[in-house]
Amino acid sequence: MKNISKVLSVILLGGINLYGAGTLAGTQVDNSVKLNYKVDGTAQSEVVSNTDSFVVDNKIDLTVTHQDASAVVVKANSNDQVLKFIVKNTGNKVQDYSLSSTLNDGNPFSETDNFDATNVRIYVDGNANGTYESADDTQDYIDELAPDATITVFIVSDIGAQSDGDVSEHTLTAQVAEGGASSSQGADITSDDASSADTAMGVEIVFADGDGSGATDGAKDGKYADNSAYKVSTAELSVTKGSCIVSDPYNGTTNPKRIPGAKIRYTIEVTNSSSSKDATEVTVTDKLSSELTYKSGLVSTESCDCANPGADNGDSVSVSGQDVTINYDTVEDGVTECAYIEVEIN
Amino acid sequence: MKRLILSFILLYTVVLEAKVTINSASYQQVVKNGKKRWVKATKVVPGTIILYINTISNSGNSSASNLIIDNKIPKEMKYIRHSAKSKLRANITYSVDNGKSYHKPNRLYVRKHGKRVRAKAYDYTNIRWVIKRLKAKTKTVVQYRAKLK
Repeated sequence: MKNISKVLSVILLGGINLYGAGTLAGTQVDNSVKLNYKVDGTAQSEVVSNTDSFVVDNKIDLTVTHQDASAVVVKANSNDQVLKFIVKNTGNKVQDYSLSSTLNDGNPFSETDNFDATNVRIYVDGNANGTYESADDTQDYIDELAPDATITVFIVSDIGAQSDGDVSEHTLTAQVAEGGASSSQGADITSDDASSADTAMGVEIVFADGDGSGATDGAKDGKYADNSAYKVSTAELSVTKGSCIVSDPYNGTTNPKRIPGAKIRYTIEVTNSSSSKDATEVTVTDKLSSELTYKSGLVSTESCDCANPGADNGDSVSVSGQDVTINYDTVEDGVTECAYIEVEIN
Repeated sequence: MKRLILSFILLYTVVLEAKVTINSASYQQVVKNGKKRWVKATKVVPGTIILYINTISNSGNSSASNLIIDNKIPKEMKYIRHSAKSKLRANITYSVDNGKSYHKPNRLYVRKHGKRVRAKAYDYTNIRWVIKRLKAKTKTVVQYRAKLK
């Protein structure tokens, strides 16, 4: 049993440089045969065949896969926003890859593209931590990616003054290039040797890549593409002011008139129409006319109803001279809040 | 007279010799004009299936017997089950220990994950064909297919 184990160990340890992507390009595969035979019962000398050989060609295959599960949520007017991809060398030789990005070529999230992010850049994850860091991730091509190895690539862009829900599509394309020289970008390999005569002992190029995403990528073209998208999420506030008369000194609350001593109620309605983004630290300042004197104020989390103010939600209303400052604090997405300011006509 | 007899004996010896040679060649399948054909293996990438054809020729004037053809499967290749064949009737056996022993598939075992299990085709390291007789001035072939790892 020990002998069997030893034999098996030899078999397992005496292997070849084998990758998931297969035998490395340039490997020579030899086959030869031994023949023993007899003539008239007499054993003859062993005959050994020729050695039949071929050299494994360069199978070029790769994938690019977006890593974000949904469109990357970004704020309006924000810079250096990141889309993340992984490029894998599924071929059988060390390769370089040049990288490019295109706009408006689809996205996997069923979002509708309606703007273009700007200042689009591509960076390779230099310290291999999966996170974009401007100081470490500066290279714009993939250098010496071994068979079966993966590397993260970032598309980094700036977002302008966009509206909530706006979408910008981006496609990352990795084009295979010559490897073999570290820290030097090899020339793109744009065609294989499908149409040229082959040699048993030479290393020919065979494109084996699949059809990725995007209009410009096809099968067996030495490149692969995948796409992703940014989606803007921002608060969208609107303000509406209204008023109604509450009472006067002579008619009370019954058909009051706007005479000196009458109380007027102003409503200041703030609506956040964003579907996903809260607005924080929302402040509105209302300058009262000099003929008016501030009496009281409250904020309610509902639409304005001048005749029937809602419940006080605790947000603060303060006055300084004729300036009334309403602090709505946070106005959540899809929510309307109303400030009620009561003044008296001087 | 003695010299004449000696020459005759030597000539007779030469005539009775079987001269057996063997040649190995590799082929891969291509599709041309919608038809599959085997051509000399040149454009080979991982996953390519290679057909190895070993041609045994007896150019002598005497039959060769008990021909034992041993083919070590290249370590870069995986044998494809049931693909070993012979033009003449042959007893085909396989080895999983680099040719130390040969058996029929149902008697080949390897150890995997601490257990002794029946060997799969890709565990085979060698193929052996035993052909009873190859007549003088004839040739025959044995062959197998394997996939590049």
